[in-house]
Amino acid sequence: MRFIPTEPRRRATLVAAAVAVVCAGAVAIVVTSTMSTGTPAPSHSAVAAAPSATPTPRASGSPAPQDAIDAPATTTVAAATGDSVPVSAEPDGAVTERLSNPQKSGAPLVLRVVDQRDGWAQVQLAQRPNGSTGWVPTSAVTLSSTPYAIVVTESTNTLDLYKDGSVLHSYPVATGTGGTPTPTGRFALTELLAPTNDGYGPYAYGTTAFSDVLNSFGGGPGQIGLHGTNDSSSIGSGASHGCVRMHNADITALAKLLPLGTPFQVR
Amino acid sequence: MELHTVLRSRIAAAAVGVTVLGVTAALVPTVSNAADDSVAPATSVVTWADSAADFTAIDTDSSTPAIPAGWSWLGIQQDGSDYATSLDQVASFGADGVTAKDGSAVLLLHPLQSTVAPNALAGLIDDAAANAGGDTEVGLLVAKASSPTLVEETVYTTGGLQGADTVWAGGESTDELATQLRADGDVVFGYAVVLNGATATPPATDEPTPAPTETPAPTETPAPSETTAPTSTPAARSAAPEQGVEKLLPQASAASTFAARAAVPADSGIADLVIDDSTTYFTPQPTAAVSSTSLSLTVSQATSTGFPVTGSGFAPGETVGVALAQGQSGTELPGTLTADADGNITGTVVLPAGATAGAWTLVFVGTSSAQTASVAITVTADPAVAPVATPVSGRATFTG
Repeated sequence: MRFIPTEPRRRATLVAAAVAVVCAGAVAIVVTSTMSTGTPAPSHSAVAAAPSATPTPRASGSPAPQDAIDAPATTTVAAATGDSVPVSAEPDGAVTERLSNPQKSGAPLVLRVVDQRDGWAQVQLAQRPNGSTGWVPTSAVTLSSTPYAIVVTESTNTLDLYKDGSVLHSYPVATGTGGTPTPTGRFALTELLAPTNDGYGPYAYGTTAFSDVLNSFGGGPGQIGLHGTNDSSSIGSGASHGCVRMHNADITALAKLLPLGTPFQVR
Repeated sequence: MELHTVLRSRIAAAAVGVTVLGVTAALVPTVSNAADDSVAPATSVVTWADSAADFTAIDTDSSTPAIPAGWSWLGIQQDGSDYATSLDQVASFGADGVTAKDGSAVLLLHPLQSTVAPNALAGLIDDAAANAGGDTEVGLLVAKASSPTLVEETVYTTGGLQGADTVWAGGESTDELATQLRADGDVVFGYAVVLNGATATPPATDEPTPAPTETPAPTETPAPSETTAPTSTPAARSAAPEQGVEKLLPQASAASTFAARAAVPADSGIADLVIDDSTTYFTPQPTAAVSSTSLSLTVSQATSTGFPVTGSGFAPGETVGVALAQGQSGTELPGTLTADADGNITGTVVLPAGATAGAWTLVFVGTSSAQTASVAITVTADPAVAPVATPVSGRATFTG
């Protein structure tokens, strides 16, 4: 290696004490020995662990904090396709009960779905304790969705009808008295009756909610209903045995809109 | 791979087009990164040079050595032997970057994207920074304006590359250096890094360099008596550098003036270098990866709540584009994510209102680094709308 000299270095000031290491004759490199003073901590790191995954929160059948509104923009519902639907405590679990289709009232069996896993749907059950759920095979149901949700607020005796997550209409209602309160929680509509007996108005929805204080009522198990009334003066107050009463015109309006399985929250 | 390449180039083109198979797409990044203003934006180009394979050897036999595109190298061993024949002989790559081996000196070279005239020198240097050790020097490759690819000389910093505060050997400010270059009819066409391996000549210690490289305990102030060693007749070079490859080397340095500097991997090493709107990491190139906690969503969910995604392995501060692909076709989504200081991303990808069911791939491409990661997602059809309940006649027994 031989390099032809060229013009002299111009910045002589660059020369300072250093160790020159001469290699192969003409070629040299300066090796400086220096002290690094006050070296701050390293700040660069090209790679780091990704943040841990956070599960997506889901709606569930368990009671919600009192103020949280449960009005999903869309809710999956499961309609039974055969004459019964087996229920298990967990996906692929043993069958713990079979739900009849149609129900005793003659209404089709339609369940609100709160979670899904491969081939299984977790549904709300119309039984005590409130908030009961079970898993059903999706092979036994047809899944569909509803954009509606009902939210009843006891403190104001109002019922808000939600569609796609937004309030569509607000209705005055009567809810339970102090002695027979309407239980709070996240429920669903289970059946729609055109009652043949007095006191319920033109339509009455059954729900997955049950009275916490009445174990039986009028020959039934104390199930909470959403219905009309022949006592419209009670609307807007806490006057019922736990059911939610509406003006007959209002329950008629709902009866023309809502699928079974529609979320029904009391708060 | 081909798809990624295509997507990368399309994203780089910064198109904001939105049609995927007739579908309009929208991307909604979460604010988690946007709120982090402590992260400096990445330069336009980010590369990793983390192994000898990323460097081209300089032709040491040439009297007018050319500077190849990309990174090149020149290595010298202090034992007086010839130039190193492989970079691995004189340097080692590790988690802290590239470090010169003891008794070796390594010169790393890179051309600028285009020649910089003296009046633009401040613009080049003001944004430049190096994360390097105290025995590492960064410099510029200077050429005659009339012959802008031939090394005329090199000019190295004193105290490191520190943006506008950079001081050049001899105590010149960048402006003063520019004035000198202008007077001489010179331009800058590249940059160089010199890694000076520990000399610690005789002290036959096995580990001449002060202990571990990873803990740069600032207060330690190694205060080694190394500085005395050089005085042992440094065979000080005559003021005139010779020629050829030699011109690339720093002539000397105002050793004692090295100032405190940013984080340092090893005295004789460098972790990263920012200059010329380019960032080079000498640390190991990460593998980009992205995952989602929800891999299968219904059309409604995919177009409302969207796919939450987290990823890693991108360049700190860089913009990450996202494309929605199916098979070999796809298109970028509007909106971008920004990697944090560790190169991680967090965000939510929301598909367009008209998105269709099917198997898709979300492709994430770092627009500076070209780091690419993808995650397969499934969009399932929404269930049918439930029918309005049909009332059945019967006796009601609700609580009333």
